[in-house]
Amino acid sequence: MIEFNFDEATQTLLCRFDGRMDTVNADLATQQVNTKLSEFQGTTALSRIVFDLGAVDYVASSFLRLCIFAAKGVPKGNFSITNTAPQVLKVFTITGLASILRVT
Amino acid sequence: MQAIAHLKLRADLENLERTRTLVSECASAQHFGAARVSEIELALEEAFANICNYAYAGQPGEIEVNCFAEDGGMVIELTDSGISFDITIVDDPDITADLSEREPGGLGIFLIRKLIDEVVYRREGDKNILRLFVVRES
Repeated sequence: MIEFNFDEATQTLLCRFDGRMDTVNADLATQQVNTKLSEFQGTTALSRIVFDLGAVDYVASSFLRLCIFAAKGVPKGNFSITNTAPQVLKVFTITGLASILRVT
Repeated sequence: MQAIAHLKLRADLENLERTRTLVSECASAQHFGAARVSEIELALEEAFANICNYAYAGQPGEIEVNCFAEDGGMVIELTDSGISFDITIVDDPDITADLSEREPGGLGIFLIRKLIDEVVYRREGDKNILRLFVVRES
């Protein structure tokens, strides 16, 4: 469901999501992201998070909650979401998150 | 009014997929376009999940889902016998707030109200009835 890739040089964690991020899957994804982020707890190794939604065609509000949670885990401006399909971008736009989560 | 689809099932997220599929098929049969069907699915999902997560406060309960064809569109009606809760009077989240001030909750109900053309709530006896009317694009 998620492929994680950490680039030590840029201290960036890339999270590639795959599938439909509905209420059920987003809750599972949240557990996976929490587990991954706990690996960085107490260190300064992580400074940037990127969510790649290239393989996601649907998001529910529980996935938006995960995005807000992850974005708050890194310095302001260091969270972004890429490869967003138009219908997914629309959900971020409606909820006022497209700009503050740097969704493209 | 004759329902074009009807489901009565346990208020559990494991029944979300089945419900969403049924409503999606109804919307497609009522000639809604693919993009609008996806929005209807999302609103339905948020309403369904809200009932599963909060209506019965952890106790088992049921959800009834009915779809009706109406002039100019389609109605999806969700009925539960849980705690009285009117989503139409919940305050909107502040969507202009900065990230540090954004609360993670409240977005599901906000999405329902933004994606559905008319959202009506009524309490009948011990039942919550949520009526979602979607206008068919011309």
